[in-house]
Amino acid sequence: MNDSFWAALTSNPFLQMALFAALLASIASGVMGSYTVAKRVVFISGSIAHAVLGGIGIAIYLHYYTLSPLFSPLTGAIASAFFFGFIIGWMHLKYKQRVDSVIAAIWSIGMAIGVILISITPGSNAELMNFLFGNLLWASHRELYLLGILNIIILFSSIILHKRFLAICFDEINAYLQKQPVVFLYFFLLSLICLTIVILIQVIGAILVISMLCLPAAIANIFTRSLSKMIYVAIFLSCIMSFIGTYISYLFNWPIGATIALITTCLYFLSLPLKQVLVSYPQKTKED
Amino acid sequence: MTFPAIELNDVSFNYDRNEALKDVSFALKEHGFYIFLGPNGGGKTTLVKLIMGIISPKSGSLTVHGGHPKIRRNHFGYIPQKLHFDPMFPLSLFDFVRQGLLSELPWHGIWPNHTFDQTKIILKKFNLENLGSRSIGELSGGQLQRAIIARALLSDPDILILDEPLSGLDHASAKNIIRLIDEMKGKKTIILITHVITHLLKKADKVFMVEKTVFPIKEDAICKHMELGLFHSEEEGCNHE
Repeated sequence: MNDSFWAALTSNPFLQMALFAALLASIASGVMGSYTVAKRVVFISGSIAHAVLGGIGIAIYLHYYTLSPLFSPLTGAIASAFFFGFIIGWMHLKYKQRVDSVIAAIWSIGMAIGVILISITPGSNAELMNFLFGNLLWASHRELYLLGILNIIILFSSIILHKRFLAICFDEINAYLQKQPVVFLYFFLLSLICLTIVILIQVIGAILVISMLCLPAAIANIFTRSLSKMIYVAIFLSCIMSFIGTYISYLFNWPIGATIALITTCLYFLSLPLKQVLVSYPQKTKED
Repeated sequence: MTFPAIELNDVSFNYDRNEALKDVSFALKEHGFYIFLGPNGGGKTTLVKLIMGIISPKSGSLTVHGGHPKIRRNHFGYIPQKLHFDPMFPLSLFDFVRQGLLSELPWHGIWPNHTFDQTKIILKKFNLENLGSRSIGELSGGQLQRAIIARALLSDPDILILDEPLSGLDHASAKNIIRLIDEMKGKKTIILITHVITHLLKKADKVFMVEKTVFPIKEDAICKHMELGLFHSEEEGCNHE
């Protein structure tokens, strides 16, 4: 590996914080991405990720005119993720299969509000780019603490509720008959996915958030037979991809988020034929 | 005082403006075997959802063992016709069957030891003990059906609901269902929902017709409905002399 990368890693606090933030985000994405893939709510998550820009835009606009510390891009992102998450979740529960258009509408309206408000707020175009494409090098200590707290919430909840989440992901009717609070669990799971999306937006940006949330889990899904193993593999892959992505982006001066997304996507496409090879190899050796 | 297993009084339900069931009244005794027969779109699925408390009646009252169906929902063992799931879903057969004991999972989410033993025993009973680690998506149709039955019976529920259990089954799988009914008859309340006439009708304590409402029906009347083409016979069913 390039020596200057290691030298920078030991001396450059921006790079250290960027990598630390990426690894924190990898833990959250490995856990919640696995539930997202298992529950098949990838497009719901995509819609929330993009709609969050609306909340960020409102927060930036209000902060400019009120100077209130309450309105920051992060608080706007969290509030709008929950708001849109609950709307989509409620529609999904009520109308099941017929929510595609609603998902598209929320996706569009959130982004539209965000782009308009950010563009009319003086001096905030750079923030728009950061949230669209991510900028880990801007991660502050305060943001790292917040990412850490969000990670702890996500990990603690999923450890306690893992088997219940598994039950509602697989068969809601059985979970209901087994006296589980299915609606509460569904919304709680969706809330944790929303929190993860907010974390990932800091790292990779709203546009590429789905790749980091779902692809490590989708790769893990190809090679594992239990949801808990899928989560461990997804966390591992996500951490590795974040590290390699940070290294390559440093080497070629590429944006970190896009580099991580590119590497993860390549690995996903490689893993599909690899699985076929692994499945057919033992059969061939048996025949021989 | 003993309550009927299930009791409906003037229950009606509609989806928006479409009336699904109207003025349904009946009572099912404990440990009886009941068949609900009816054409597709007659309201059978709605009836099952009402009985299990998944949906609430728009009018009328419904009790399960004298209580609200939502509160008594763990009294049911539900065996669906088919389980719709992603074949890639990361779940082993053992974990799938153990979900039949989910109501016994403590708040901290760690399975009590006895659930492991109980699951092993029921897997053995259904000849699935060697497949426990296999992914649910890799099971054959017959294995999956036995796993669904094992899961439904694991918590020893009082009421068994078999939803279209005979549709599209091969001979061996249909035999599993018939064996299950023979074994459970007189021990549990069994509700069989079907749109096909089977020789199981002769074993039932009572047969109900579901056609926007629910009413008891005798064999000759069933044959008449069949001649009208409302549903068909998969077995010998009616004799037309």
